[in-house]
Order: sequence, then structure tokens, then C-alpha cells
Amino acid sequence: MNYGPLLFLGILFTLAASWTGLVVMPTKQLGALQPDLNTNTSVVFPKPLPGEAAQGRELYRSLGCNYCHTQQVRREGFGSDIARGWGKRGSVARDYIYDRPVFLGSSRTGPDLTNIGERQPSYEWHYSHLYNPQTTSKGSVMPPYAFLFELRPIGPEGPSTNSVKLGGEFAPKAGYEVLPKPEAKQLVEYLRSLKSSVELPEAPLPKSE
Amino acid sequence: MAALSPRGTATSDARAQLAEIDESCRGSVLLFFLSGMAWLLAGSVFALIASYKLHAPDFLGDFAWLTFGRIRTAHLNAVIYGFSAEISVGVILWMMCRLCRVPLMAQSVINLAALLWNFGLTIGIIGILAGDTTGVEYLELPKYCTPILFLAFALIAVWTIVIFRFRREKHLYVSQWYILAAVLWFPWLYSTAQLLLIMDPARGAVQAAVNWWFAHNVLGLWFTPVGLASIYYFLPKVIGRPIHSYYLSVLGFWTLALFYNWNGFHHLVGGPFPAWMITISIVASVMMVIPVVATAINHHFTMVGHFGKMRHSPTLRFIFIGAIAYTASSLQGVLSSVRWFSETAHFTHHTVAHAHWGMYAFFTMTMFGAMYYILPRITQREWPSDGLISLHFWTTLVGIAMYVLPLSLGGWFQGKAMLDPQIPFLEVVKITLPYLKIRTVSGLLLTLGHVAFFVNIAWLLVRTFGPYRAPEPMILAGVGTGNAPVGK
Amino acid sequence: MPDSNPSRQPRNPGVNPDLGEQHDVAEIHAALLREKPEPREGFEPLNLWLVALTGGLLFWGGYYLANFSGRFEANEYSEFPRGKVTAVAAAETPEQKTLRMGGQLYANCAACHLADGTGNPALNIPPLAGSDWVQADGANRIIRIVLHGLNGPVKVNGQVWQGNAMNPWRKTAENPSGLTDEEIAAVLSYVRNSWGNKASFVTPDEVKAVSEATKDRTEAWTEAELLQVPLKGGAAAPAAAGGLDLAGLKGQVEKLSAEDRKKLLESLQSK
Repeated sequence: MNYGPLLFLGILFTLAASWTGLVVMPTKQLGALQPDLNTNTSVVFPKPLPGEAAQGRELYRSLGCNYCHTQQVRREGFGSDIARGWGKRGSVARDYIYDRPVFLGSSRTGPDLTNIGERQPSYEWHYSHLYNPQTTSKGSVMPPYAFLFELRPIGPEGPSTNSVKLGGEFAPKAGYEVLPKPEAKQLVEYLRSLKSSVELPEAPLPKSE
Repeated sequence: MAALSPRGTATSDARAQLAEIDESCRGSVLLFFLSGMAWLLAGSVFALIASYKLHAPDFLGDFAWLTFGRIRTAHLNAVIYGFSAEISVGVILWMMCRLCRVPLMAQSVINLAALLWNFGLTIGIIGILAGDTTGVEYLELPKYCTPILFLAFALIAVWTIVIFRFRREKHLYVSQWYILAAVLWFPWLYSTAQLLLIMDPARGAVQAAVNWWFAHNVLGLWFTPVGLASIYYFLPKVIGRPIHSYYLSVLGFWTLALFYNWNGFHHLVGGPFPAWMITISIVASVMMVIPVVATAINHHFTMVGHFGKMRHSPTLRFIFIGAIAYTASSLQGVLSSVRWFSETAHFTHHTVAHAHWGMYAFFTMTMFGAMYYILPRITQREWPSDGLISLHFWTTLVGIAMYVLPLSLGGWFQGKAMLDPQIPFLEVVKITLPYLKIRTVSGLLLTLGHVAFFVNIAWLLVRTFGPYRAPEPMILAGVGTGNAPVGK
Repeated sequence: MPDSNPSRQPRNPGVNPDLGEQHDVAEIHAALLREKPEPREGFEPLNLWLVALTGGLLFWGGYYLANFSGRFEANEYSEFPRGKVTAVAAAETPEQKTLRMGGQLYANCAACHLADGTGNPALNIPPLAGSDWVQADGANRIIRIVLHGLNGPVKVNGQVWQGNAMNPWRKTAENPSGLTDEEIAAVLSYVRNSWGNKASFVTPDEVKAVSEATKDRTEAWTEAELLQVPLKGGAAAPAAAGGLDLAGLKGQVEKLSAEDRKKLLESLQSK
């Protein structure tokens, strides 16, 4: 193997092969997927995110939430994602067509979030959890995101309706309240938008028993 | 080859040529090595913070720029694109020059590449901590610095090919195949990934496909070839025997080239992809057994009977660990890609342990070995302290063993618990805590090793400005006492 | 041998040494001196067993690729050939099945009421474990809570919980991710029989009956309204807020002692 050009050709063709198989072919098969319109329920899925949720998605990216949370449900019979209530069906490629970037994730230090909007739609819960995960999930290793909130003295009209309900050791000092900043609201809107228990032709929902 | 002087011999002329080559590499290789070491120290600090946060989440919790999602990313990019890649460049430039028997020409171009690279990476890491991460794994560096990095990579790639083009040695040694392959593959991988993921993202799940084709190939088509090229060079070089089998080298190289780059989707087992994509990557991953076993046989039979030389050679110690770790981590990788195993271990800390098994126990230890060989030759000074060498070796060996073995096990238990829907998620988290704590302790050991190495390098550089001193008779014992073939 | 004889020391060592100035190149570079020659390859033949292994792996690879690739189609997400049934759980009794399903569905509730049913005092979420509401004789009230939600303060085990609201979980066109009657029956059965709780199972028919009777209701319940609902028995319950359960009221008045009945009538007539 002393012949440079031969080496070069081999190097070129081996990468060209996988480039064709793992980049070009998936693009051909999945690159033009369109949202599905279900003729029975008139539901279009998936849909692009509305304004605040889209901004929240940028925050999800910027804070690196992706490194502890996945957004992919494994199908029934492989892993116990569905049994854990993380979704009603396995995720398919079409679920992600509007995502930039795609947050499939590769680590479950925390639970999967594909359907967190269905599982937990409560603003209250999310604000408390983001402010300090110990308030709702004792023993969690998720970091606190108190910097998404502001600590404000309570005004003369009394506590704001938006203030985060924190009890016990987590409550702010007397005379102060914790309010979510716009970023926190955007992030929670994003989380609440995460719902994908919609039937697709390639991904039927299981029949209820 | 006729001698250059009446007192010289053919061998001393060969050595004179090698001395000239070493001398020509000095500035550029030193620049890349020192930058790489700085990134290693920074990356180690980021790693310690991230590791500690994972079991003590309130630690430094008030600072957005230190939040786990960002500091972990900064760690990864600092050690991959900073330390690992920059040391790679220093090592492959030196090896290519030596094996091609040409001195490094126009160093200023390489030095420019190093400066661009460091500049780009610095603003990139700061950007990540500030929140500008792209969110794409292994490609988190923000858009404003990647063109700078790409230019630096391109300059290095072109220069390596130029060295190759002007080679004076007809025979192509196996290390040169791997180095050529690495510098040709990487620009293609990087530009495809940047184009389809960052500049003009592909639609939906196709992004993940391209992402993991890229990310796995950074490991398999850049770092693995550089590591293997180094082991193939330094192992026979230090021992003084030929590599066991040319045919095994050929088989190993071409099967790696053929199969490794199809592995990417084994990161997506169970994911939202048609079955064939996952299956094809699993098949390719299992086929990797062939090059891994071929390489292991080659290395083992070259070394067998010469294990005692590790006593005197720091290079051999680190390379030996690297070679064993390559085989072990690769086989772990093959196992991990099979659906049966992945169902349990996917998404757990087992994957993190495997990544460090490959990138640290194999790649980093190999690079340490290479640096221990190269630095005295380009600075023309000997290592000042064998105590620091020993400290470096033992802390990193014990540290990495303490990292990968418990965390692989812990990840498996984590996965088994996650498979049981009756076990609440917070219970699963609790199971991982002891392993995460052990990992932090191992990180402290590793960092200690890095500091020891850095001090030794700094001391070596200080010595460069002083008179030459004969090597002290300790770890490099045997020199000047008649045991080494001096002058031959 | 590396020489420490000063007369043969190189000038300006280390600082840009000019090799041409030295008497002997080899002298200053002991490391180079003791180096072995550049590496080269030996020519041992390939191990036969490695060739066999390669062949074997290629065979396996081809077989696996042919049979587990879903015919290379874009829509085939399962690696198993169509029609293959994956492992079936061992036979279980209907009660075990209900508890298992209910346990899985409870994941929906665990976010607030927590996996161990202890609720969350910080967020004013009452516990389910040991709760008198949960373990009541009949499930009429808790079925309603799950169907339509709960608003306002509620007294559980003597302690008042207020300020938090529970969302409705009935499956409708507006709330497609809600629970069906069967699912509500399963999760309530689970809750009534977990964490030390002991109470009767809830049947899908019961849930269906309540759901039918309250099908026009849109708002969440309040504690006051729920306390008027009989725990057991037919779906004779208020269909809308402010509606009267005359039959229930009559039943309650009839249970009063004669004296209390008199007091009640007097107090009513005084209005």
C-alpha cells in the first residue's frame, strides 16, 4: 500500500458510502415529511410553535436542558417509556419536522419531556419546579433556575397574583415575593406545548383496553 | 547513503536528518501542545464543576453561565476541540514529518492555524457559557466562530497533505495511512454537519441522523485513526521491533474505513427512525469487532516479551494503557449498540462512561504517551522530574479506572431501574448518586495528574533556555550506563 | 555517550541552536541517540481464526440486515416482521390488571400528588394516601373530581387545603389527552388501594353513570357542592352548579331526629 492515489481513492469511497447511506438516504426518505391531517378528527399534527413557546424553546436550547432530558418516546415493547406514562405511542420522524434544532436528547438524567404538556400542564407546578426543583421533587438533581425569577418586595397592594407559591424553607424572606421573569413564562409555555399523543398513519395509538 | 562527514556513519546521518526534522517541528508542535494543555486544564475545571453539580445541584446554582447544561457543554468542547484535537495536530504533524522524512516547511502557516483555532475556540466557549450554544451535540460552538475553526482545520489538512506529497520515503507506513485518512475525512464530516445542521438545518429527524453520523465519525474517523497511528508508531519504535503483521494492519485499516463510519445511528436505537437505519448501524458496529481484534493481535504480539520496557519508558506505559483501553472500550461499544443491551443502557450514565473509556483511557492516554516521546526531541532536553511522571501516570490510570468501571456499572443499574415502571423516577436518580460521587473523586485524581504533567512540561521548557543536562538515572535509567544502544 | 565535558558543550544551547555550529550533531541530542530505528512492519500471516471470524460476522451481518430492516421502508419503525407479537405478560386476574393499568395511569397524577400519594404542602396539593375523601365508602365524589376538577378549599383529614385548583381529566374533544371512563375507573381503583389505602374498586360502569349524569357540566366542583352528593347510589346528583338534589336532601332530612327536624323547619320559616 505504497501508492498514494490508491489510498486516497479508498479513503474517499469509504466515506462516500456512509455519506450516501446515512445522510442522503435518510434525507430522501424523511426529508420531505409533511404534517398529517387526520380526516376523522380534523387535527393537523404537528404544528409550528406559537410565539411565546417558540421563544421558550430558544431558552431550552440556551440553558442546555437537552443534556438531561430526552424528547423521544420508545415504542411499546422496547423499554418502558409508555408504561411510565411518558407517551401513548412511540415517537416517529414526523413528530419533529418543525423542530430546529431537534432535541431528541441522549441522556435521561431527568424524565422524558415529549408529552410533558399533557402530563403536567400546571403553570404553578412548573414555576415552582424551575425556581427550585426540590420544591416539587425532593431528591432531584436538577439545578435550580432561580435566575429566571426575580425577588421583589411585596407592593402596597399585596402579593401579586403571579407570584410563585413557595412554602416552608423555600419561601422568600418576609415581605418579599418571587415573580417569574418573561423568560420563565416563555419556557413554561414551551413545556406546556409539548404534546404528541396524536394518531398518525405510521404511528397508531393503542386501543384502550 | 553516503556519510556527510568523515567521522559520521549512515546511522548518524539518519539521526542528523531526524534531528533536523525535530528541529523544524519545534515551534508549531510546541504551540499546539501548549494550547492543548491549557485547554486540558480548563476542560478539567469545567468537568469538575459539572460532575459535582450532578450530585449537589445547588452548587454555584445562582449563576446562569455555570448552569449544568452550559458548563457540561463547555467541558466537552474544550476537551474535544481544544485539548484532544490540538494535541492530535501536534502529534500528526511530527509523525508525518518523521515518517515522510521531510522537515516541516513554512511553519508560519501552521502557527497561524493554531492562533486562529485558539481564538475561535475561546470566543466559542465564552459564547456557550453565555448561552449562544447551537444546541446540537458535538457542534455546540456558535456560528460566529465555526468558520474560523474550519479555516484552521483546512490549513492543517492541506499542510499535512503537502508534507505527504513531498515525502522522501517511498514506503508508506501504517501510521501514515491513518493520518492521511483522518485529515481527508474530517473536513468532509465537518462541512456536511455545519451545512445540514447549523447553516440550513435539515427537516426534523434528518438532523439527528446527520448529527450522529458526524459525532460518531469525529470519534471513529478522526480521533481513533490519530490514536491508532500513534500506537502503531510509538509501540514498535520504543521497543525496537517491527509491528507483528503488515497484513493485519491492512485488514485493520480497511475494515475500519469500511465499517466505522456506518455506526452513527447506534446512538439512536429505539429512536424515531425507520428500523433499517438502526439495524444497519448495529450491523456495522458489530462488524467493528474485526478491525479491533486485528489491531489488538498486532499490538499484543509486537509487545509480548517486552513488557519490562515499561519500567523505563513513560511513553510505553501510556501507549500500552491506551492500546488495551482501545480494545476494551471498542468491545464495550459493540455490545452497547445491540438492541438487547441498548434497551437497558441507552440514555444512562453507561454511555458517558463508555465515552470516557474511549476518549480518555484510549485516546488521551495515548496522546500523553506521544507527548512524553516528542517533547524531549523537539526541545532537546530531558524530562526534569520522574516523580511528576510517575504521579501523572498513576493518578490518571487509577483515576480513569475509577471513572469508567463504576459508572458503567451504575449506568446499567440505572437502566434496569428505568425499565421497571413501578420504580418512581426519583428513585432511579437516587440509585445513580453513589456512582456520580465516585466519578467526581476520580475527576479530582485526573486533574491532579494533568497538573503534574503541566508542571513537568513547564519545567522542561524552562530548561530549554538553560544548558543541556544529561538525563538523571531514574525512570529513564539505563541511559549512559551501557544498556541503551548509544551512537548506534 | 552524553558528554558533560565543558569544552564540548554546545554554544547557546536550547536558544535557536544552529546545528552547523556543532562538532557532532549527535552529541547534544541524547534522546535521539538512544532512539531505536524508525518503525517498520513485520510480515506474519493473518490468523486463520480471524479470517473465519470475519466470514462468520459477515454472514451474521447479512442475515440481520435482511431480516430486521423493515424491508428498508420509511414507515416501518419496528424491526420485527409485521405480525410478530412481542412477549405477552403472564396471565393476571382482572383486579391485578386494573391495578397495573391504574398504576401506569397514575403517572398523570403523580406530578402533583407525587408518586407516594403524599401530595405537596408547598403547593397546597392534598395527599391521597390515607385521605378520607379517597377511602370513602362510595366513589361518587372522587369520580366527579377527576371528571371535572376541583376548585377552592377542601378539608381532607381535618386539615383545610386551599388555594390550588385541580384540572379536569375527562376525555373530550377539547381535551383529547384526558382519560376515558375505563381509565378513570382504573386509576381510582389504584388510588383507593395504594399506600395503605383500602377501599372498594371503582367500576367503569359507575364512572360511566356519573359521567352521563353530569355530561353537561363544564365547571370544576367545589367542596360544598360535592358534600351534597351521596357517596353511593344512583347518579342522582346535581347536574349543574346550583342545581338541587331534592331526593338526596329529602333523604338527609328524613334521617334527622324529630327535634332537629323541628329546628330546621323553624329556621327555614324564619327567612
